[in-house]
Amino acid sequence: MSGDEIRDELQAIFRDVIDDEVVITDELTANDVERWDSLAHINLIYAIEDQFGIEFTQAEMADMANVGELQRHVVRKLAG
Amino acid sequence: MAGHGESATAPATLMDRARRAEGVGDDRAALMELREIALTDPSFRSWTAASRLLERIRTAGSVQRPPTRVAVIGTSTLDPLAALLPLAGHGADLDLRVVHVGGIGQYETEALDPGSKLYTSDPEVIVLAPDLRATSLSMLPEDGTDEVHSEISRWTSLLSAVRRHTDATVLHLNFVPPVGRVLGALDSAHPSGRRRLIRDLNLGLADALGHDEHLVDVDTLACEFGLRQWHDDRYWFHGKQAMSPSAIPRLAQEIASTIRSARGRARKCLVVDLDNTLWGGVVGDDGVEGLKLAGTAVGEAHLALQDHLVDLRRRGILLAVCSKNDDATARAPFEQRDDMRLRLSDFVAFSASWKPKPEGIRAIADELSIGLDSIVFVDDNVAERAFVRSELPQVDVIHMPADPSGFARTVASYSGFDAVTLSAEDLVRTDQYRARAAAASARDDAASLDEFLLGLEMRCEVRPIDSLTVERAAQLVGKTNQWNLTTRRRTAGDLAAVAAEPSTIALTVRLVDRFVDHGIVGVLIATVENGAVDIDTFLMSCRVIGRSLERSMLDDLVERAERRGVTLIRGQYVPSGRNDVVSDVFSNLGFAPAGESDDGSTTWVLDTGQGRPRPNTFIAKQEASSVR
Repeated sequence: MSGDEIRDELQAIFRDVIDDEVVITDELTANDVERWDSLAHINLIYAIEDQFGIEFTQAEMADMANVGELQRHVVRKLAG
Repeated sequence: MAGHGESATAPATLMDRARRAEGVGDDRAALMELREIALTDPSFRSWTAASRLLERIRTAGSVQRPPTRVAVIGTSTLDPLAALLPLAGHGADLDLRVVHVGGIGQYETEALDPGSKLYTSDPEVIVLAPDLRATSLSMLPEDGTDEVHSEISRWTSLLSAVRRHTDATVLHLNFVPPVGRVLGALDSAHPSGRRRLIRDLNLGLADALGHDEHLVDVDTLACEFGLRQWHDDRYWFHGKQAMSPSAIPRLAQEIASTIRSARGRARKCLVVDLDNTLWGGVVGDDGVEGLKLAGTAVGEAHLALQDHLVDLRRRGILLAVCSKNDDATARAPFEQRDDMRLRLSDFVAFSASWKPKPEGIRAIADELSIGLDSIVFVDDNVAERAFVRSELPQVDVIHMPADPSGFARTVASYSGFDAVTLSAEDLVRTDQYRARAAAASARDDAASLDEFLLGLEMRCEVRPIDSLTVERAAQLVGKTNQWNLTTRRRTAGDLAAVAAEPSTIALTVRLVDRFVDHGIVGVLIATVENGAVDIDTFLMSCRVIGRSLERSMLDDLVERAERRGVTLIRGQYVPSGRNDVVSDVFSNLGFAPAGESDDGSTTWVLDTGQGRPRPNTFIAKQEASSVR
């Protein structure tokens, strides 16, 4: 799966789980999006795990400051 | 309803179509797509997206159903569940509005404090959702029974507190065991084993539920879902969420379907296809002997579905056939194959013709005098299902898998028939409908309606709404649409409270004829105030329309009113869009018109001081004890 494909999939997940209007960038953080609260974050993590067939550790769940970091975690998990 | 997704359309497409429809302002189409998601795609992500879209459409005022106010309290984080309840409700034909979600650790205080938001938010339904982690069952207690009893009394005393402070319908979730065992099999085998204590706690809780208090059996739900999938401890450690997000849509569906049943809105009739549904093969092509039934693997799968339908029939669900076949061809397997589990006598209607299925289903609804929203349709053919779904959106169409081995399980997982109580009437319903069909053909033979009515040798019994009759009365109040003058819905709890008022006359009526005992089929509620009787509720099951029973009910009301020295009786007809059949009832009963309001409601008066209506001679009145 290429970086672009992963980015497109993440964009679709953000739209489904967080907000229909949100456009993601590497620098985007929870502070920038009103609906991206702690509850929505849990939902987001779950939807990503479900979509890519991966599972984050508790430490990783807490350590995702922006979309770029989130994507790096996904890429690393997919690489095994 | 998990596990029977329609393979023809992928979930993403449903959500895309819903968004597109909403984008061009077609909220009705968007709502239909959302309903499909609610019924067929239990993925958490789809539900999250669909729930937000539903909320937007609802804010725009496009949802037509009457809303139901729901409050949820528990011992874990419940916001994710609450967020998905409206979508689950949408799938169960309810407009659920969540008016309050309890905070973690607030369960006891909210339940006990009459001024808490739980009560001030004025919910019609309260969902109590404690989690096993909030119980204190110790490891191998000396006296397990003792510990279970104290836990049962802890939770049931909170339940009683809720009952004291509100007359809302109450749903109580039971407890889900954790993954893993301390003692292995002894967890179940030892009298004080953990698993055994949880089981006892759940049983004790179920036994403690009273009027208008209903169990949500999460224990069984989680077991079906798979305990390892149900629990994901990361979410507990991270945010005190008691279950994995993947399980939340399924729990929301279960809660919504329990609310639907508690409101008396369960469906009544299953319409089933024949070829490749009840048996393997096409009877018109393969012949009766060529059909796959007992002795082949495929045939056994079809027979498993038949077995399930027999069980549904036994518990009061009406079965009907809708098949594209010649009538005689369609009936032949029932008459000639010994290995069929279903007999012709199991069906209350049999429609075999070459007409489109929506027409056949409509005819069945008319024949049985039930609404399309009481019907569930089962067919192996995806095109027939899609056709019925688009032509008759009120009918619930079950999404069948392609492989017959999944048929029985898919229909058994459908929750629209679920009852919260079983009455004696439920268990003999097929006999009643078959007798009515027999009576209907007797009507063809009778020279006049009067002769027909006299020939039925009808007897009725009037009983007040009391502990023996209130459950059945609530069923009727909850689901009678056609012969219903005011369509006021009330729960069993509300009915019991209304009936207890000294100024209320609240009656049920049971009808027996020479064919069958119809059970309790009518409800009449009136208030006596300021020298007049006002009829609040006047309704009758549609299976006895045209029997003149309304005259017997009025006779009884007149008598009771006169015993209180009142002769002026006022009635009201409130059109609901579905009760045209009763627009002339008061006029036919001898009432005089007394006004009409803007919404089309009409008011009627009868002064029995000016002459009593002629007593009903078609139905003999019996004392309660002699019929029973």
